[in-house]
Amino acid sequence: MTLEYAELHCLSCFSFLRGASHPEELVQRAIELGYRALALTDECSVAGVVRAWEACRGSRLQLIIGSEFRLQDERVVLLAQNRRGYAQLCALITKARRRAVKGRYCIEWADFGPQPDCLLLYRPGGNLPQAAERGRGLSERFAGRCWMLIERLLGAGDAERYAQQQWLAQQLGLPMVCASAVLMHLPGRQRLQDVLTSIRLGMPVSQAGFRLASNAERHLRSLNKLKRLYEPSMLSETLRIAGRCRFDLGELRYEYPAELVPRGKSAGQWLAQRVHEGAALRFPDGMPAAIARQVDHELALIAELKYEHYFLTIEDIVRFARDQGILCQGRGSAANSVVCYCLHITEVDPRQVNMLFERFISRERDEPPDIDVDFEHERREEVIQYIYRRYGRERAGIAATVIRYRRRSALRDVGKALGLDAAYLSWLCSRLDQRADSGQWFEQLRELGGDKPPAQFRLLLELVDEIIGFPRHLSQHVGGFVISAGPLSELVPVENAAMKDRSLIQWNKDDLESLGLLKVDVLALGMLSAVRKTLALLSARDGKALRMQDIPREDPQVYDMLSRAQSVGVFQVESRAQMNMLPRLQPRCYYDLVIQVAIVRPGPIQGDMVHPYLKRRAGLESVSYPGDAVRRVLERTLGVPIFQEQVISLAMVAAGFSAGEADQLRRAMAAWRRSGTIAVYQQKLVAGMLERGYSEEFAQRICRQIEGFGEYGFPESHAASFALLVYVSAWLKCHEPAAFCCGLLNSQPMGFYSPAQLVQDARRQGVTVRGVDLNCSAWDSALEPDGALRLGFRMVKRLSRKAAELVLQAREAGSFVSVADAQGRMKLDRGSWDVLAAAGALNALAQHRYQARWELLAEDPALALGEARVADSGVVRLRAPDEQADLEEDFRHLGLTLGRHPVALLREGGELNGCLSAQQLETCRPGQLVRVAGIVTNRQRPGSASGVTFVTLEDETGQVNLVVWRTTAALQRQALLGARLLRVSGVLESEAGVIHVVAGRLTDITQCWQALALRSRDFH
Amino acid sequence: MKGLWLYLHFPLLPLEMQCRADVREPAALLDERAARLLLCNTASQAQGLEPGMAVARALSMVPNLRLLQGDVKQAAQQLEGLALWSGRFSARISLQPPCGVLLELASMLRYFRGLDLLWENIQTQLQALELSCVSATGHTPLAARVLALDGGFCAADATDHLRRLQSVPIGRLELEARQRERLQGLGFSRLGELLALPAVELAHRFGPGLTAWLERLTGQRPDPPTYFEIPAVFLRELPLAFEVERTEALLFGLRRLLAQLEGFLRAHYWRALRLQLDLLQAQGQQSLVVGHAQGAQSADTWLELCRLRLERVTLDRPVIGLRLGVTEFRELEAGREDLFSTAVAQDAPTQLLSRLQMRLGEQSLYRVAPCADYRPERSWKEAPLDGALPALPDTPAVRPLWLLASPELLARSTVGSVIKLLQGPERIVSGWWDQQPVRRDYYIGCWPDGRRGWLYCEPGGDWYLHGWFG
Repeated sequence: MTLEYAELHCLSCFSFLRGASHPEELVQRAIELGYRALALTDECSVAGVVRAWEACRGSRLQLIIGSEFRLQDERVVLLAQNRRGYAQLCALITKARRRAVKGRYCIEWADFGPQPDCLLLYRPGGNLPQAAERGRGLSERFAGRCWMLIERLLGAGDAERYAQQQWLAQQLGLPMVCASAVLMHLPGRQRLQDVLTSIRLGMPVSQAGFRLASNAERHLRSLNKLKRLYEPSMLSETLRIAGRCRFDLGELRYEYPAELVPRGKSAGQWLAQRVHEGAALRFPDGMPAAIARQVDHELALIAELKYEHYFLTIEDIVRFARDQGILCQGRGSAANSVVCYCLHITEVDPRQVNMLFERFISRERDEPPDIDVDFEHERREEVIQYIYRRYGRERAGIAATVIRYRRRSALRDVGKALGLDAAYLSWLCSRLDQRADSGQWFEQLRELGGDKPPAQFRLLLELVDEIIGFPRHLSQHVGGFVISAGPLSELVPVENAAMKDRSLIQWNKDDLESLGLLKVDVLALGMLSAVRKTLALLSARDGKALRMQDIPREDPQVYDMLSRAQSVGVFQVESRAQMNMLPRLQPRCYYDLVIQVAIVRPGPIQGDMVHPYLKRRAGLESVSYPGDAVRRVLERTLGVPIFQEQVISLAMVAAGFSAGEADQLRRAMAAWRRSGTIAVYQQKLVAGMLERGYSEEFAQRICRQIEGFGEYGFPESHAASFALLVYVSAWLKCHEPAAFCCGLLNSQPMGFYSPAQLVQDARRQGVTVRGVDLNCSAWDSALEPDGALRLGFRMVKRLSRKAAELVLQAREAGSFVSVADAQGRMKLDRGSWDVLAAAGALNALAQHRYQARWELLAEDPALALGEARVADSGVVRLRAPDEQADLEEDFRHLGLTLGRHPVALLREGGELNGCLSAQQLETCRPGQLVRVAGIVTNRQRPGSASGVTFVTLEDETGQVNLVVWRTTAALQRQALLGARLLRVSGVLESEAGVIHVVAGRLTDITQCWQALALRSRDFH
Repeated sequence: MKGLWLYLHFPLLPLEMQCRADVREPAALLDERAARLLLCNTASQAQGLEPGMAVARALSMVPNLRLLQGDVKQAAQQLEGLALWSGRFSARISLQPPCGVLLELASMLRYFRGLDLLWENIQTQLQALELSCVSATGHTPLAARVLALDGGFCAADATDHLRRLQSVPIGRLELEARQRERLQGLGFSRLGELLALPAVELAHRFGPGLTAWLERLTGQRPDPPTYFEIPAVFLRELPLAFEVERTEALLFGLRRLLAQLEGFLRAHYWRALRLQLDLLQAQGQQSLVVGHAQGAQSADTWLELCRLRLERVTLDRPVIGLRLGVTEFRELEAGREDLFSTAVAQDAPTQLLSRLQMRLGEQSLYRVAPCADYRPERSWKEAPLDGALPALPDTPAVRPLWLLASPELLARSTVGSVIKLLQGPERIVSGWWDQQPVRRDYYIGCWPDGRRGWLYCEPGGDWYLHGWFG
């Protein structure tokens, strides 16, 4: 008779820092060993079950869902028999988790009972009388569903324990079942398991002593071995239990909340009604026939795929935001449809963009629709709290993000566990290029160990490799909500998040997708705040509401400005790489912006697609297609694949992938870093393309592009929504620079540039900017009647909003005439006065900062107590600060200056002889030797440009872009990395109006600033 | 009497105690979390490093930077060591943590024949110490300290000191950060500007603390320091930053200890007859005794004697620290009789142990302490005779009282036949981390004569006897 077995007590790495194998590995090994069934019973968690379930698909292994609970030295394993049992298990886990702080749980014996559809396995601890009592209680509550769990791990006293437990089971009349308390799929994982234990305990392995396991028995053991360890009856009992567990995760059915649809209407009818109501607003003159046909088509498709509730759910959230005046914008597959336009989920107008809905939702691909909605970053919490209110906490939860071991954390934690010195580990980390791909990274690490690495180092290498990708804890996803019809905790356990008033579910976004559960992404976007604030300023100024949809589209002046790379503050295209691309791409229409947003990304760059596209766009290379099918996919990007969607379609039309395979490719792309399964698809892709007559070189480029998308996927559907915000923000910058700058300042922190850079840029555009003033400023920065920008109190560092409100209240009675007057009329704390004076807000009342502070100090009543009151504090007249001192204080307390640029002072002081300004560079010829100097505002070493460091210098006339090659950088590391002020000699290069200086000699001139200060202060 | 004080500021003390001041290689001391630099030596400063920098950034700028870790307790000890050393210049010394020592000089001027000679003497001896040091005199303790922190100064008169104080930048003053910022916020950059203001205006705005501080600085308010009491015994330890395997390399650290010793002896008017030098190792130590028949104070003399003694020593294990103690000394002027040689009576057991140790050698005498390790041969360790034993860990199971020094191979055929297996297996698979892994199944077996032994089987099928039950 062949032996059969079901392992009923098995923990994966989702029992954080305990389990030493991934769920997939456990399933795979159980299949190899010929187990009939495997129960995944992570400690108070089901976070790993979806992965196990996916790995099981197509095999004959039965997966049982359960969970282990630890109560001192006793163990309880609960197994779900059916869907109800699963719901009861989830409810129990939720209850235990919600009682404790994030990452922990708290369970009591009384909690076991109301799980009529679960089976319970009990393993006693060392206290026999207690165990007898416990066993009796449990067997009453779980009559016919309770077993004594026998686990022989060959530790000390194993035989006695075995005998005791058998005796106990007989006393209680409990059936016995055996298991292995599995923590790993192979005994070889013992090392890693020991390391995980040490990390959990916070001590090196060598000191963990008896807290480690004494041997490696907690693995999936062979049937032969099990036969030697246990009675046949115990083994066959495992099968009886497995036979009673009939629950499969695939049974989970997700139901949308029904309350969004009024009684008596079907979801389809209601959606259609909403769409037509919206259409009336969107198309006041009536909907063009073509668009009406498109709406009908989309609605039919939505109905066919049963996605009505999904659209209605999002519509409801967006409607709330609109009612509250919170700006939002949807993106993602399905977001850029006419239906979404009508529902006000997106502002992308179908009349201007010829977008086909089916590009985003496809009947064939059967992928779920995915709409992310961005909200103003400062007000997203209102939306989140609305969702909690609308559906209740028991029906809405945030998806989890699994925080995993990455290289650096792996190196640190494993290193500590092996007893390596913290300083040595810091040193190791600093010697490794974090951007290198994982093969290179390991190679670098191996080299650091020398030719004959010590044994500890070899262990480090092996264990770091093993631990990378291991989950560390659950954290909340940035904004993915799951909303259900019934209690969420019957679908998946809910636990507390680190943030107060937040709760998260135990599954992440991939798990949800695998099970076909839909989530709604509620994301935060700073630019939306800035745009809304700018629009509000303009509406107030003009006395007429200005909305996003009122902004004139396709304005050539806006495209002219962008083509000159004047994009500071503009959404998405303000980074240096984007600024370099703008003059080369010369965007002239909305779709150009869609491409602009997507092209400066790892995907197209690693696929070498950027230059071919630019060439074809400039007419330097002819556009041709190998066939009509490919033409349809690539026509809009001149035959060069730019977007993720195009690459997937290409796999279908050019490499013969089926729809299902293409979908798998898409998922593999998103997960390639952790699973590495992408190589299979790459081979298939190359083979398919060669077979169909494409060149090997082109096929390889597509493969690299796929890897690039894996690093940072950026699909066209998202780019389309982002491009609209690019246009809107660029229009505001172009036509309303003062209001736009004001909107940006009032939405900080956000974006790529500091307030100082934004203000400088606005001033170059001709905006008048005025400083913070006790008599003129409000909390926010604002527009003055003459159109100038007045900085608000919020710019003053360390000034609270409350203090600013006090100033505004006191000011209602009229302007302040002196420092004493101001002090007399409001009670501000000392710190607030200090920062107001420091920021120059009292300059109008006291001539200068020093005197203002001196006068403020005199009035402090706490200090005046008991001291002789000095009648006339005006006796002492302090000298005024010089320009440089003023400038330093401006930067320190406001973060920007309205005075001259520091570099201008240095130039005037003769510190920068022979250096050209950024403006002067424009008149130089390419190849010319130049010398420049400025403040280092940015240093970047992008992963996509190997070995090059990009540095941005700022002077009083603008920015200078430096390119520092690897060899130059290596020789002048200190100046490159350490300088705040840098002088550079180099060669000027210019391409399509983009000027770079290729750095030769770098000199750190940071000390010039102090030198200037010393000279001017000691000898004036 | 006019006051005169000397302040010695050792800015890099915790770092340089671990590594020579004159080394060319850049080195830096890390904070507790090993995340940021706390101190940088001259070489690393020259390459652009500064305290507060993140380690990763520092290493990206100076890849060959040596990273050292300090500890607070050690720093306090080091400062005391310097106070002992300064005993040669003044009888009144005050510790100024974390990195300074204050010496009263006025009363010593006559003895050293004037400030100039004394100053010269101090500078020479400081050089021998091989520590970075900034020294300054002051007419008040605080003035000396402020001037030392501002780069150093030497003068005898109060007027000179007051003049020099005028130019000290406000930023250098050790005021509360908020107060300093506030002063700078008023545009004051030098101490002189502050001293020029009406005191009552200042007090009104900054509270009495600041004016009191200024008065202590200028001498308008007395400011007696707390003096350091020279301890009655000399026993000092110096951890080495790296493992030393050759005796010559010990001399550098030893010189520092001996310099401290000299200060200690001078302060007490003593000379030492016999020193005990312990070379501390990761486990255990090697002890040397060095004697001088007439007794000596001078560090140089003792250094020479120690060097000779060390030449005859072979290091059996790398040395990680030094400990120096005086076991016999006598007063400088006293005759041959020894006041201290019989001073300390020892109780009998200790005496017995020391005798045994002397006879058998230190390595032969130890205590046994339990150790939490599954591998039986590593579940105990040798512990020194003194000190508390570690807490007893919960031993996981039945263990024989008598463990064989090394397991004995048993004939395979005897196991199960002659030797009856009573209990087992207990599987022990552990110890992968220190390259001495074990994979064994342990059993309790009964020998024909009734003895119960502890035996195990290895994966290859070999059986070993590992111990006997009582």
